[in-house]
Amino acid sequence: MLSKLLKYDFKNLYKTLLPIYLITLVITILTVILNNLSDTSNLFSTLNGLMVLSYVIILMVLLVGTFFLSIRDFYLDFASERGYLINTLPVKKSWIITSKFITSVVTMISSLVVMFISILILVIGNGEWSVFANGIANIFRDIPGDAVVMLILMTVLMIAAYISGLAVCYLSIALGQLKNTNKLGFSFLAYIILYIIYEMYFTFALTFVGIINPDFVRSLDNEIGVIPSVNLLFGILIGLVIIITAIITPITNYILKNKLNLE
Amino acid sequence: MALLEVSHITKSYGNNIVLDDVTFNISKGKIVGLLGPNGSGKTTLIKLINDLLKEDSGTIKVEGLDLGVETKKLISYLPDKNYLNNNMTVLELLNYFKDFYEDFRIDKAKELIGKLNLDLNQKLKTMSKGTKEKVQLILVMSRKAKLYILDEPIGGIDPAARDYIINTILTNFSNDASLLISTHLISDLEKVLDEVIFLKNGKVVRNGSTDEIRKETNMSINDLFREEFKC
Repeated sequence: MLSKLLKYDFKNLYKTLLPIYLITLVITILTVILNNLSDTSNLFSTLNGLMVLSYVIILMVLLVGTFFLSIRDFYLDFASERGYLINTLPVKKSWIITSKFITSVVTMISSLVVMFISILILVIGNGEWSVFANGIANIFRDIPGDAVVMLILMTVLMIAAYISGLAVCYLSIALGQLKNTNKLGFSFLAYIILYIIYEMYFTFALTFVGIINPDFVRSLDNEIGVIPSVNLLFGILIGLVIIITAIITPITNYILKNKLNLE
Repeated sequence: MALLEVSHITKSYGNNIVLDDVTFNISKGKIVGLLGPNGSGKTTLIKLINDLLKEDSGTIKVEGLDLGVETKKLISYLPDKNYLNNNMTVLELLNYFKDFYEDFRIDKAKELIGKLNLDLNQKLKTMSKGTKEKVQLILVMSRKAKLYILDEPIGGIDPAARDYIINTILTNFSNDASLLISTHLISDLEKVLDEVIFLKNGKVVRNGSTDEIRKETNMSINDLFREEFKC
């Protein structure tokens, strides 16, 4: 059943995202063309300026829009009339929630890939490919082994933090739908409160780490040999993110399973 | 064992008691009318049976099972509003139901859609409200469920469409299944109801066989309803 939920959740999100991807690529190509023509006349120069602005906006729409669509999809399924369909299907609530997490992470990754492709097109189209490629090659040639681990940990941390951010939003919606009126407003209110608790959790946890191991905090200030300490910090942060997500998500599941309030 | 057992259900919104100690059973093979004026608690009760709301107290069982994944396999539910994704085509909706409900008869659904002369590739958002309601009804009635629960299926539609809907309901559910239908338009349905449940201010004020109630009161169900709920 999870695969079926995934199929329809992906279909639903990509119905909106694919046109955004297409628009992003079209704007990228137009930006490249106008950038190459901008020296030939003032008109092209002005258009190029506008196109660069459009390009920046579409990249923001791409990333913010992907996140917003995922949250909106969850809200519609648990706090709107659309919930009458999904919540009467013979599937476990935990599968519905899992499907939302997976589709949200995958669509964000695909949006980042589109953004990366768009930047590559821009670089190649502007004839700066060799500078760009050499720059990247230099970074990876000179990079120490610890830094590779750091990059991997940073990537894992970003994905874990994104999932954790989704978990906070999902719990906010689960709490907001408990109210009989203004569910959206109460979801926002719940989000603000949860976000404060979330931040306090990290502050207290990291302060605690600093108290029990002051040498570790001092090692983060050393310019030499700082990378292993940063890696340890990333490891701790990943652990903290996993713990808070593991606490939040079952609460969301409990509320939506036992306290669903589709008014 | 009753197909549906609703036992001492109470539900409040703040200080407002919407359902107050509601108890009734529905046996297999019955068409039961859930009758009451607007605001009597019909829709809340139906949502509770479909696990879309949670009761404050009491229990609901379907074939002896607590509400959950297994009972959702047994119930085919038509809400009183447009709840389908408007961006989906009719064919996508048929496939959606086929994917999630083992008892969904897609050929039956296609046959009923064909009789309406609807294009399978037409999106829901391009349809009129009345046509959307018919598509929803077809999806619900194309399941071979044990219990059909229809919330106001004939409310707010013209008499011709009403006939279509009643006919579609009656010709598409099997004899061993039961039907709980909520309405306040009793005259259109009285002749097919085996039992009725009168709901007034969240309480069951009458529950029994339509024949017995008619004999006992010497009134039609429609007249009794008007008498019981007159303002």
